[in-house]
Amino acid sequence: MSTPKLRARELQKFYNGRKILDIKDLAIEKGELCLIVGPNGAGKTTLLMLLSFLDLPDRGEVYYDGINPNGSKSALLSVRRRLTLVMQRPVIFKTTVFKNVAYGLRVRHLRRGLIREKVTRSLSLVGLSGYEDRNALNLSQGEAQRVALARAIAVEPEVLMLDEPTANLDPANIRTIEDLVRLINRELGTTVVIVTHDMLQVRRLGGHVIFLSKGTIIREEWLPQITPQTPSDLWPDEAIEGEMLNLTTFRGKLGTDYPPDVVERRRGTALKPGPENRPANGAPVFPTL
Amino acid sequence: MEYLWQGLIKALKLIVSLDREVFGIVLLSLRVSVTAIVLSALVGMPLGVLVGLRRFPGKRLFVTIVNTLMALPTVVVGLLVYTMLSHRGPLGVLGLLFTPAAMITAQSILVLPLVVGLTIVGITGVDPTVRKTAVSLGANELQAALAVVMEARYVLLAAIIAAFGRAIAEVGAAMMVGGNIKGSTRVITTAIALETGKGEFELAFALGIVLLSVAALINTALYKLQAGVR
Ligand SMILES: Nc1ncnc2c1ncn2[C@@H]1O[C@H](COP(=O)(O)OP(=O)(O)OP(=O)(O)O)[C@@H](O)[C@H]1O
Ligand SMILES: [Mg+2]
Repeated sequence: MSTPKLRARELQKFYNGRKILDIKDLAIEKGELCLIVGPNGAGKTTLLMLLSFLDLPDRGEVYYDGINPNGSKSALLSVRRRLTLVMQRPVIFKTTVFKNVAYGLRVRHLRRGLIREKVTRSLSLVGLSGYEDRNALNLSQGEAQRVALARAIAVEPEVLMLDEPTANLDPANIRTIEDLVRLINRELGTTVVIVTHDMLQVRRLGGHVIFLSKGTIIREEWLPQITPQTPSDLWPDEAIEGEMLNLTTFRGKLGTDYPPDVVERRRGTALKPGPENRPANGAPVFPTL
Repeated sequence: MEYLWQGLIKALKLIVSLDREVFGIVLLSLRVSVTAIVLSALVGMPLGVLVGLRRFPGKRLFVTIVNTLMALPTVVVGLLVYTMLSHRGPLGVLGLLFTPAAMITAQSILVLPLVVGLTIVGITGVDPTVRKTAVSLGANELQAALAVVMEARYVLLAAIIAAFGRAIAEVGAAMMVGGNIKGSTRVITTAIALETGKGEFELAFALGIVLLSVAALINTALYKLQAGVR
């Protein structure tokens, strides 16, 4: 087996003497779509900050392509230029949308023409074409969220990390972002790590799902990455399922009654998209407890 | 009351006719204070940015000292610079006492704490995730620091303007180390003090009006900047 893209071992983080995170072993393979789910305060953001080398663990190591860059400034910079994170509440710089999206390209000293090209493409991918000259301070929350995403994908990272990227978006924009995530993951082979609360989103995207609770991984699943064919595949009986799959059900033991056609328990490659791997409409992906 | 009105009218005439003496004094004032601001900004801004961004033992104490020095009395600075530059002082050989250079030195020292202190306030006021965001987008340490400075740019500009206001309006230091020599070290404030003492109000009024206009301009600029932040 090849070296994982990202690996965490015996990873611990404390705040005020309280253990917030305790990850024994976590591997994210190259090209994977990885979803981290868990209730508020589970430590999802903390984990993401460690995996993106923006924060230092108190114990343990994080490896990127088998290398632990923490402690070496040059190794850190080189790794940070290969992955990027969109934070839960992204900060938009007080300037134009263009300069925001161009930021990562400018610090890499790219040519002006190339920067313009990449900014235009990134903005169009998040559905914000023509926003270049807008003052970034006057954006709606959803627009700001998408500017942050455009800013991240503009640098074409090997690993893209998104901390609740759709939390503030309306359904149409959630779809845009999810399609974009699929595109980036499949067409470009980018490793994507997403933190989400939304179990429907987990079902819609599929992939390597990590359940985090009280700072520890309580379960890992590999769900089929379905290719949506009709809108109903994407949004099955939303209201009812939303109720059933609400994160309040995220207690107790999980997993014994997963429909076998939904869950691929073996670790390995993602399931091929196809009708046989698509959950039946209305069938809960996760058990109600 | 009559002589006041007459003084005022003569003062306006002096201004409108661009009187040589008034003009020379105003120009020197601007030259001295602008130079002093540039110097203290060159030193104070990087220092303030560094202190604002870094954590180090004694930071709290440093900030407290800077804050205290923000209200440094101008005569104390005058005394300090005077003793340094006087014949018997350590820098006496330079022969700078009673020259514009001495006034620039004094004003630079006077506003340095203001520049450093307000820069620290501006930098620490920036959301700490700005720096993390820059880093996550591939910025190196210097680039990330610059991103923070850019976020604080309005506050930093306001700091410069406030410092300029303090420099151009102070009398004590300019009088002590400049000596108020006509045509050489006489600036707006020292001229006003002298002319008022002599009971000759028109020049004092004229210069007072100019100084007030400068102050009004500064306040407008500050207000505009604050509006820009919102
Ligand atoms: N800087 C900090 N100082 C102290 N405690 C912190 C800090 N950051 C996080 N915590 C604590 O660590 C725990 C995990 O926080 P984290 O932000 O990782 O949770 P999360 O899973 O992302 O939650 P949410 O779904 O609300 O975003 C919480 O109890 C939080 O209060
Ligand atoms: Mg979080």
